[in-house]
Amino acid sequence: MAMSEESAMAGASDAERPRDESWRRRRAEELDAFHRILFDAPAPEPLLLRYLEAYSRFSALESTAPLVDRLIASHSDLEAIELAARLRDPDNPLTRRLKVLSYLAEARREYAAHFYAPPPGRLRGFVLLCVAAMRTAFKFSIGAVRRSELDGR
Amino acid sequence: MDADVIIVGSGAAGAAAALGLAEHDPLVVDVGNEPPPDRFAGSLEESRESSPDLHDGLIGPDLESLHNVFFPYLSPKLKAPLMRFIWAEAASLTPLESSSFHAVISLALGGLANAWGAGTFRFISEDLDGFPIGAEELDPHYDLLTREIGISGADDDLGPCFGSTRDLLPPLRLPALFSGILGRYVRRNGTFLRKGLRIGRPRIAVLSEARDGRPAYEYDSLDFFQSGNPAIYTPSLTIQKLVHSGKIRYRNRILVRSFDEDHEGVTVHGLDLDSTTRVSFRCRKAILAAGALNTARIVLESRRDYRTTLPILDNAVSYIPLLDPRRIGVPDATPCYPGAVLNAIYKPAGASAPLQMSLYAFTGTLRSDFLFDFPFASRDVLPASRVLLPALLVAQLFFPSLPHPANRLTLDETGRLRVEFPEPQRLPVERRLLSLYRRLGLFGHPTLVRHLSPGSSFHYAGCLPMTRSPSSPYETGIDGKLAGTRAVFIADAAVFPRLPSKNHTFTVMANAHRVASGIAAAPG
Repeated sequence: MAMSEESAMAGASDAERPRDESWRRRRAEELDAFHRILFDAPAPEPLLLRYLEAYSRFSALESTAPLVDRLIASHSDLEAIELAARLRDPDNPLTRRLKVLSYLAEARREYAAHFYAPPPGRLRGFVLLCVAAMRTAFKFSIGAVRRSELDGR
Repeated sequence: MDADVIIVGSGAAGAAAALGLAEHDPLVVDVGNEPPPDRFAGSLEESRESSPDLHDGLIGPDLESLHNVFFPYLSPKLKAPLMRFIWAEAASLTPLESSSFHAVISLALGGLANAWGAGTFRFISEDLDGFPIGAEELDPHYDLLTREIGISGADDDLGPCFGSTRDLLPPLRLPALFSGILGRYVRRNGTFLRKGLRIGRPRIAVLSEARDGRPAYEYDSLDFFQSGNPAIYTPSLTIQKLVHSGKIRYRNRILVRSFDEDHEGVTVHGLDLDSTTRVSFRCRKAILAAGALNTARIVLESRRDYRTTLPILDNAVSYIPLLDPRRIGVPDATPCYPGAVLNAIYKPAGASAPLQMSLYAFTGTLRSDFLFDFPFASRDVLPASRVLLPALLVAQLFFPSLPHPANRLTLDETGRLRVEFPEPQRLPVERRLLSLYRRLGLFGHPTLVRHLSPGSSFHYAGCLPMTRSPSSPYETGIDGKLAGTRAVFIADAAVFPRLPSKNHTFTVMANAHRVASGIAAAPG
């Protein structure tokens, strides 16, 4: 297990990858898009640096970047497509990016309220869950139709 | 002679064997990787207050915590950056190949127990079915170890399954979610007992009060991120204490590879990892306690046997998520130990062996470890998780493991262990358990039950099984002596002829102490 991880990381050396300004801008747009989904705001610069580091270490991000670039360029509903994809395959490229962002953000103090705010109480909690469930159903209905965009079709 | 007795390994078995031989100046040798320096200032909450970014401690300079996003599942504890020392170097120094068995081997001081949940369970008579020794032979060693390591627990419905309550410390605090479950169980325990379900407080090697210079557990929320909390027992505490008191000697950075014997004693051969030179140690008796897999490797290599297949055991594991709707959205300020908060034993009428479960809260790990397991749109996962987490728990269910001809290991000439484990012995009980938990107001669904791949329990055992009359050179006697040797003893889980559902670590320790005590008492 550790061996495969080491070799996978080694196979993703910086030297093999394009790192021009255009590439960096696309990664920033990508991070912004996912950050707006999770936190409803653009991503701060320190998080972008960490995100680029993740690109350097995990080849699965680089190999699926063109697909994500295409979805962003076409203004697809990333959240809807991700949801539909996640329910079939939790390791799809969009969910992986959201997970990476979530880990990187969770370590930072300015995100503590998103992750560790106390629960809102029973009544508000049930209301919040109902709203989340309805919104999820709506997003899924969109994502189920557009999921094929993730396959490049 | 370098020592009268050499103990190979410093994990649960090695530390307990060292304790049993503490008056005989044993030499403990192993690789002994140690944890990196702590990266947190105080508790996790205090660290968040004092530092704007806990990236290095929580995620890691090499983004270690992202492991499960891209690679096969590794437990949250083992993937944490400050816990990597537990399995560091193992893949290169003790290689193992398998398509079906995801093993973790530790070369750390204290072994895999650096990441254990601290569950300490005595095997009672029904657990020892198939063993050539009985509970009465282990009980004195359980008693001594209970005093040595400090175990918290309670005398409750699990008492008949968990054995003596002597010298137990008071149990840890119980958060509202779990006190509610326990309260509902106690009010109707007659019903549940008839159905074969018992619930109670766990026995865990975590100090609920200060003891022997060790502090009481402080609920610092760091258990998943760094080891070395002195309130949680790990075998390294015993090794360090014995070294400091001059009772044992300890030599680390030695990878033991083989042994040979002559009429005067045993020579243990290894590699000094710092100088990369071969080293040998002479002793009258050697105890192999390197963990079942590495002990099997050493024995096979010593005999240059690259053909024999040895049996291997490992508890299959299922995770059953459960929801208590009463607790949805309800805050609870009671801090929670992130290991087992409650235990359950399930043995319906007619079942041959009990099943053990540990009930955990969803605290302790990073939220990112499970956020996207919630079936919500991604914008909703964070708010929904805040509402659901106070109501969520998971039952970790272990299944017994019996020898199966398809589950086996061999050593090849390059020193690589090859493990085949196609038969994780799992029983279809989850639906029945969900039905019982529903009577406690806990809800789950069979489709959410998760089965971990073989090897994930880290309860490896059974390669050199103990019998009253060993008939093969790969069996051990009840005194721990490896058949075909004069003075080589096996003290770890390699000798277990089967694994019951209970976590086996405490019994590994008790048996290792028993074997070592036998050696200490032997003439000469």
